[in-house]
Amino acid sequence: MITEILKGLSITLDYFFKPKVTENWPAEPHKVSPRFRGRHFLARYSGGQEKCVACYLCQQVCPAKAITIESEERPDGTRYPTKYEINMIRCIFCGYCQDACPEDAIILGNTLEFPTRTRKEMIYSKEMLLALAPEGHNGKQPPQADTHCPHAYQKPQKDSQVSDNIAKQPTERKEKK
Amino acid sequence: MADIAKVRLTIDGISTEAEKGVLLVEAARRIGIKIPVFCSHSKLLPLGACRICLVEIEKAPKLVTACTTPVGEGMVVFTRSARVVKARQGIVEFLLANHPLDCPICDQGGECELQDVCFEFGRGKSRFEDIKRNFDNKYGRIKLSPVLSWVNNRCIHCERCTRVCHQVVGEDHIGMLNRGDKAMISTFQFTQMTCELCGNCAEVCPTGTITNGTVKYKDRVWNLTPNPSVCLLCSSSCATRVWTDLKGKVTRVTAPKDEQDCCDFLCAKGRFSFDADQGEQRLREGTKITSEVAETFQQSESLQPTVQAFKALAKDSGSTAVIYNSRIANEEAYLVGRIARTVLKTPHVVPLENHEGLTSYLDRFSGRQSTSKDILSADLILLVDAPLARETPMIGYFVTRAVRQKGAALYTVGPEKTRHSSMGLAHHWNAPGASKDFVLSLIEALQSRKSDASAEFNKIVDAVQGSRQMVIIAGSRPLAEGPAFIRAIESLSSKVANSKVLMVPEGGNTLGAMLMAGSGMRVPGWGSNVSQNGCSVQEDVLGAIEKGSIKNVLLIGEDLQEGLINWPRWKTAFAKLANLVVFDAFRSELTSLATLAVPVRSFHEFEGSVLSALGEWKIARGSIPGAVGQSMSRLLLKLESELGGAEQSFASVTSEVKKLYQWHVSRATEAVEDKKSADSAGKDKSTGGNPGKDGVFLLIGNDLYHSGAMTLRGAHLGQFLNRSLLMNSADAEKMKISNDARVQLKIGSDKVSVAVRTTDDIMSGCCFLALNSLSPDERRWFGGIGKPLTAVIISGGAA
Repeated sequence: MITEILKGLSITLDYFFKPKVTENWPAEPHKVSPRFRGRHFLARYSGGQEKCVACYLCQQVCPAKAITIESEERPDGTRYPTKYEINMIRCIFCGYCQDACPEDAIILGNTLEFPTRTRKEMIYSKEMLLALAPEGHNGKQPPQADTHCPHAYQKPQKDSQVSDNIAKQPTERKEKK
Repeated sequence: MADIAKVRLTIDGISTEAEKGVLLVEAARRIGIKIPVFCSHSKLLPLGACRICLVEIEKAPKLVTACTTPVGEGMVVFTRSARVVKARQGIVEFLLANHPLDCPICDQGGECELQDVCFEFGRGKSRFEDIKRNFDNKYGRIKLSPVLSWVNNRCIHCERCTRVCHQVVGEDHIGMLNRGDKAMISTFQFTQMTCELCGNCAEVCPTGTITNGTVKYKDRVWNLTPNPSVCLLCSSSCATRVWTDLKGKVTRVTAPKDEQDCCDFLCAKGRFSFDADQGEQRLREGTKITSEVAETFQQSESLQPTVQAFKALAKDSGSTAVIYNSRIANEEAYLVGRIARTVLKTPHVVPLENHEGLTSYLDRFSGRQSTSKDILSADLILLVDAPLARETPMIGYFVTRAVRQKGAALYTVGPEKTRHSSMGLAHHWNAPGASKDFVLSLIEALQSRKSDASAEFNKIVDAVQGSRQMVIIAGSRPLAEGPAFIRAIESLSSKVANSKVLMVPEGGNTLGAMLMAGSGMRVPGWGSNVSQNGCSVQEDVLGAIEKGSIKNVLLIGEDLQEGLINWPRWKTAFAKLANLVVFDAFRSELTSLATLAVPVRSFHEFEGSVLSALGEWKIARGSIPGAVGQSMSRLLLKLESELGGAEQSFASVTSEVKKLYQWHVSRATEAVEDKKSADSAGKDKSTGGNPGKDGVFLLIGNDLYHSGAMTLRGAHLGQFLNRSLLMNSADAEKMKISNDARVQLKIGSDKVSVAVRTTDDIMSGCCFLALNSLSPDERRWFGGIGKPLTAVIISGGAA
């Protein structure tokens, strides 16, 4: 019995000398993982043009129905959202919107804390979301060195890789022979 | 119908039977086997352009296209064999080789047949590495029309749109240009579209090449909910699908698909004028005037003020006139008629339309008129002064299909050459208002040929004599000639075996409303003890108000002011009234004069049944979210019970309405058996004028796709208004008027200045002016938009 107690105490003692993992939050900021899904932002192209084309896929995929979009045609014939709202109270930060986005326009950043005093402030408009895009994010297409979520993107495969993959498929080889 | 020989065949191991001549695609669909198609369409002739429907047939050396191959006895078909699957994958890959990956912004995305087929039958990956075909530099996104959006890069060359344009619409406005991978759909020389912009090319396009431009980039299909409805803008009364977005706002209107009796197509006004009732001019709140002060009330609260107003009307029994127009459902008309006779006890029930001819037509032809099937199976179609493309485009589509797909012979008669004249075999010029004379001389000529008749006339006589199944279609102008014309055409129809008659009134539910509400002299079904000396036309009512015998007026319908002929006179007359109750969907001068104005649902929001010109019974459920308030028939039912009537459910009204219709039909059939009226035709005096000698006839009417004041209310179609006077070129030369010159039309002291466009498509001695191109002030002296086309003689037209 004493051995068991000593065993247990030794574990406690072990942890006593290990480095501390408890964060002094909120005095010190919480360190998030590189793949953390935090507050969204809307990205722009290097020329400053918004990436979002208002395809409504994020709105459709959103399980919490947090996204509201209204769209129109620009004079130059391109499609753009006149309204893009995310209700951050509804949002469950699943990241499906980012997954569904064909343009890499909506991205979940790594901001964890963004409390407000009213609910109204938690509804983010398109302008707010565009302004949230981090500085380093501009000018890169597709963004490589994003300080917020560097691993968030799947690197797009090059065309040649795609065709290589197809060529390697066993059925194709059979057909060729 | 004789039994059609059936053949037995096996598809994917399932043994089935089909009539001879049925295509493989259809035979497979009936037993639940899906064969993908692009170019094939149930209402178009087979083409076999896209090859996606390839199937394997036993003992056939190659794969065959299921959409062009008819079934054969003992055929063994495989639609899912390895060979077929591989071929389909190959076709999909080729189709996608040049198809841009812009699904996220393409408005077709979500209802795109190409997307669906690629997902279901495609390979999943592309081996195509070269640069895709791109028209963007030159004409890829060329703006051919403000209401249609064109992106030629997305085209897969199935040619559905060009075939619809040729075989259904009959415009031949778009076609395939160039060859090979440079082939593209466009108008000739990329000119702006001057067709009737019906949008059927967009409707049938399996990709996003042609899409509805009015909702371009506004929303996505999966956010829209389709609501079945009926369009009340003309007497074809087509079934529609009204699509509403997440907020309940109507965003587009399309034709219903995959239904047995529907025609799969819509005209421009049905498709694009849905915005008319969303504008500022929509009456959303009611107003009542109590002791000189106008109060507004919400639609949901409209019962109380309506009950009060009707109590006031009922006190003065017999001094109330009830006026309705054709844009109301059968149930609404029935209830209005009943309330007028039982509660208000008035004999003055008056339709706004000129109805003498119509009443006579309904008495003789209810339930016997030509249906769409009759038109499609006819071998001879005779259009007597029927500008179908302008008045009832959908009936025009049936005629076009009969001519272009089934090979029917088409002859046109009248003062104007319409689109159908160009696909017809001959056009016989006939003065406006003289359609009856034409019919009578045709009857005469059938017995003994006249020597002085024109070649065209003789052609028509020959065709009528040789016809197996004839359909005679007359427009609203002959209808305005009155019962004499109906008698004449009945006598013609009785002399030609297997012939059917179709009269096409201009307004929405004209036939249904007329049958259900009746008019002063003609009481349907109930209440035979009602006095028979009521007013029956609006001129009578106007006179009675001015004399002071009518003190209250109840107006019910939609766009009512447009139907009141000589509005300034009405306006002063209305000032004399004690009560003016108006049920309208739109704000107008009339609603501002009303002591009580009640907002009602509009032409696609309404609830109830409609009787179309083709005799079809269409039902609108009124289920569109965002519609203004409750339906008028339910309001009227509540009103009736508040005023002491028995409570009745909407469903029982519907069944009563249906019974009443059956009663009318049986009455019409009996009337035919009596044969009393058959040979009285021919003694009436001609109502037609003598164009050219009495002066130049001015034909007034509405321009293409404009019903009521729709074009003046909606933004989409309003941009195509053509304000010019169409004039015969020979006349113009004689009067020394050049093309594009401005002339002044004078009637009395009124004048209007318009530009002249000379054309050979109009009879010498006539000219045509689209009423809806005029401003409201100018329109007044023509007598309102809703009036049937009439002839006005102008002397000294040029100025």
